[in-house]
Amino acid sequence: MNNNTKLWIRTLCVLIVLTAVSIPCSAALQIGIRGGYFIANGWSETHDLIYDSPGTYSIGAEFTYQFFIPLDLTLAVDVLSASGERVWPSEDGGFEPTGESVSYDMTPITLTARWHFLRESILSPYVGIGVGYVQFKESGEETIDGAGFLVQAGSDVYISRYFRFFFEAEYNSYPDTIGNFGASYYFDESDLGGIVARTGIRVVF
Amino acid sequence: MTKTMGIVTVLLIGCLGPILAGESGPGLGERTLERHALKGHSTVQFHSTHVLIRFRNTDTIASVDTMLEQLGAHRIDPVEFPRHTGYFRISVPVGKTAELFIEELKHNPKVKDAQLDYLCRKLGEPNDPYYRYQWNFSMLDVPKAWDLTAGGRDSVSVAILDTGVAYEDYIDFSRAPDLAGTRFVHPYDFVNSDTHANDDEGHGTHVAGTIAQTTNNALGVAGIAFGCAIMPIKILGSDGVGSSYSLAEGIAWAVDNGAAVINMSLGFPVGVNPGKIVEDEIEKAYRSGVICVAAAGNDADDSGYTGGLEYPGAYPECVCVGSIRYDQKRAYYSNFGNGLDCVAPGGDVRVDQNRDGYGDGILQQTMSPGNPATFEYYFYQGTSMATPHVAAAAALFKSRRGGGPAEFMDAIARTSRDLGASGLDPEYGYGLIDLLDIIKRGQGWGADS
Repeated sequence: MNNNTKLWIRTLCVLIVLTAVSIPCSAALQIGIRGGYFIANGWSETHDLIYDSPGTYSIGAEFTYQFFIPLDLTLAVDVLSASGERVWPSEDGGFEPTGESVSYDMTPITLTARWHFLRESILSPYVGIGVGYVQFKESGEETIDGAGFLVQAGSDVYISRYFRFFFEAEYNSYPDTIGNFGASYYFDESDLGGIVARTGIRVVF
Repeated sequence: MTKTMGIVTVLLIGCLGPILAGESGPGLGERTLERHALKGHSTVQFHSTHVLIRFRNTDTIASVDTMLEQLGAHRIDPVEFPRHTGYFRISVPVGKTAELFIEELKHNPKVKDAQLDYLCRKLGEPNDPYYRYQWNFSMLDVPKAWDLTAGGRDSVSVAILDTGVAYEDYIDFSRAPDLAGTRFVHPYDFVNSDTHANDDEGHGTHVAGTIAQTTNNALGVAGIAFGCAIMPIKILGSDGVGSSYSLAEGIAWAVDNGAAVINMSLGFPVGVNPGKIVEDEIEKAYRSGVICVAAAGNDADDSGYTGGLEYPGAYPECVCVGSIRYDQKRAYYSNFGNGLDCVAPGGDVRVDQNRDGYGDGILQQTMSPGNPATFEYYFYQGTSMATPHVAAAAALFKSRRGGGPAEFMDAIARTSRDLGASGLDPEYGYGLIDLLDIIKRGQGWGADS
């Protein structure tokens, strides 16, 4: 057994000890704020072309109700926005900028059921599955909306009796919401969903 | 202006022009349209003379052939063995249909799989069976435009000021079957003063079809801006005649109810200005960002005609449309003169230049003469038929965030395919509209706009 392996085992033992500490937890109601980065996985080429980035930042709020110890239900609202420049197809088959700015606001509302492991430990990992409704408004256009689903995995980190820090990753999909016009139609991308890396704080009542 | 001058008769543009050379011009409102009806047939979706089959054991070609012989069929391909898929194409025995043969094969223990050989088609063209007769769509590269706009969006509506549209089942009227999937908004009948703008003549339904015939429904023909909505406004009676009043009221109704484009396949006799009542409403529409498109008129072959455009097309606020035929020459009936903006396919049913067996008219569905409840597909000709091509282009332009009438006219000037004398000329205007480039002149793409 080399030194590196010993170090990993030691670290793992410390983590096991930490998570084994029993923490009183009565978290029937939680309110949280959260933020993260959204990668427009479902419309990556479109986002990259118009908004010159793979994704954008998100902020949001959530309300959690715990049914029983391992299971809770979270209602969350996030807001995402980005600015870019309109394009049109050029003669050579590519795209050229029009000089006209364009922006979007996207508002997913999600309802997620999460199953916690090691609920009363400092680290409380969870997996979740949920449904979502998204509104997408591009400047000068009518609002588009659609429904979808999400899966997520993350962990709560115990800070105090009243606060939890958390981090999570989420994959969401809102199929057939875009793709009728413009760049998304050109790229045959119809899903407003993506991947979110998110963190936040939950206040426990 | 006297009362009598205020109700100047509106001529139905599509009705004008003799079909046979040497005929004299028709009288006021007389209908002389050439009609060729097409009877329905279903679309072939698979090969009926052969099927695809895969055997459980294909050790030798001889064994395959023996099995096939037992089935009463034979191999079509000369290859010894299929190279990639493992499937053979085999003939359907005489006296059997492909479907029945498939069922029979599936019960044969030597057969691993059997299926029909379905036909595919190149993308971009609709599955409407009479689409192949719509030479006008090919001329304008309409399928390529659909790649950009998917037929436009239903929040963009095109007001059709005409004889009405067969858009609803109401008393003796029926909705045209090939308009079943088309969206209609804010209808009004200024002839009978009610909200049921049904067509009792056929002209308006044909015009509506060119713009927004239900498309990809495996029925009949296609429409250029099939994703856009139609606003049926009846201002012409069953005799194809209307007035300055009904036209002005119709324009006002369209503007007030949010139309993005107004199609006017109609006109007053050359030299007759319908008056301030129409002029004011056209100007209001222009200032409201509504694109007005109107026909140039069909008088060019009338004796004594020396040029000139009909109103409302002659107003500078309107896009005035002339007609060309299959060979992109001006149609014999199409009016010309200063102020003509562009041309579009309007047809010439006297000739069959595309050799499809029919006179080169514009094919859409409309009602049978005198019967508003039965429908056939008819070839019409006229600047009436050319106009909705440009109105549809305007609707797609709007669907792609295009601007108002000034921007649309600018797009026409910059993109039209020059015909006739170089540049703007009285016979072809700026030339044949370039649907694809007009749409690209919309204000650019966002993610979904």
